[in-house]
Amino acid sequence: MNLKLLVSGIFIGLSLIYFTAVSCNFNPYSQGEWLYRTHCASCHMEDGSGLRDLIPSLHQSPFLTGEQIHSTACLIRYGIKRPDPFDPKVETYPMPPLHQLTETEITNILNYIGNHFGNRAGYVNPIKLQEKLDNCPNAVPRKY
Amino acid sequence: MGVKAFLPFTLILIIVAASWGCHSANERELPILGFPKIIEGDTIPHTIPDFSFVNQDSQWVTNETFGDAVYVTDFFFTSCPTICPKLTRSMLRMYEEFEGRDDVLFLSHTIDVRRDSVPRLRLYAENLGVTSDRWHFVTGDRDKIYDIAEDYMSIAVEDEDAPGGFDHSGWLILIDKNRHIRSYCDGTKDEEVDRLMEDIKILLDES
Ligand code: HEC
Repeated sequence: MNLKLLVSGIFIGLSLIYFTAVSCNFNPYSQGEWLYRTHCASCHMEDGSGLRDLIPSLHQSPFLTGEQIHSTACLIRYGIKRPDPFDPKVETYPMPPLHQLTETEITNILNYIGNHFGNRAGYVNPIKLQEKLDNCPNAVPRKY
Repeated sequence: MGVKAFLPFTLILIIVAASWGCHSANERELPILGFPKIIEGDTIPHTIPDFSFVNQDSQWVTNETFGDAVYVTDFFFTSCPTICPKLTRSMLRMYEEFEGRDDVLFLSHTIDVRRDSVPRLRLYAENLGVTSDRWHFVTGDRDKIYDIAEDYMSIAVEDEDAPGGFDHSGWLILIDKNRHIRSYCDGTKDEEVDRLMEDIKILLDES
């Protein structure tokens, strides 16, 4: 066997692991942050400050504490539904559902916002999150 | 001639362009934007035509409402999930910056006239914590709103890179007391909004 090839293979492998670790350390929330910017920042703003009484701020949010954060996954997946204030028979979504996000993606978003904007939720527990998502009180079947 | 010979030129160009951009706010003069009309040899600058819409307090809003004030205008709708919250937030930032001044006013047109009734606009303004003595949220005849949008946006149309469809363009437009468009910016970009606020100050110094 070619020893040279083996050695350089190991070397490349190790440096890949090293660089991944370094870049992950640099920002442990990179996917969460990116997803937040893509799906949430247009309403809650990049800095999470919301818009007065139109859109709630996510700063020190009771929805993003250690106890509550897993339930918040349901809000992300199924949105927040409210009766239209001027036509109570009509249901509206002030916050639209995001059915397309996977559990992993929701976890990453929650880890990002749960540890930014003055929140200190710590890390999301994936098993707890899955349990909550399986029993969302606001769940609606996907139409498409 | 070699490529090297061009290098000094390029450098000089960059320096000139950079110092142009660095012109301090007060030295800058705001042009009148939009395509001028030439009528019988006279050049008439682009002018915002007459309008009358209804605001969140069911009052008429016309060109006269703004009198000697300058105003910033945008197009939005209350249920817009994409860029409108950011636009509104930028407008709010300016509204706060010029707090207490009745010569800097704000005008937001809904482009969803079917849904955005007067009560809906009022609730929106209330939730935002702003009042119609400085910020009007207006609705009206759909075609009239679309027509006036074209008038305001004619400046944006000149910009080839402007994203298509005015409802998604995100422009904030600055109008002087003579109904001329004097500046505009992309309301989703904080640095551009900062620059527009400087432009408002320049416009106020003008008179
Ligand atoms: C279209 C605008 C919009 C988008 C996009 C949006 N939200 Fe919301 N969000 C809202 C509104 C409005 C509410 C308040 C709804 C209500 O209670 O009636 C809200 C409520 C919340 C709450 C509860 C906070 C509280 O104090 O009520 C959380 C947490 C939240 N959003 C997180 C997110 C996350 C995370 C995303 C992206 C995955 C997101 N939102 C995307 C508009 C939006």
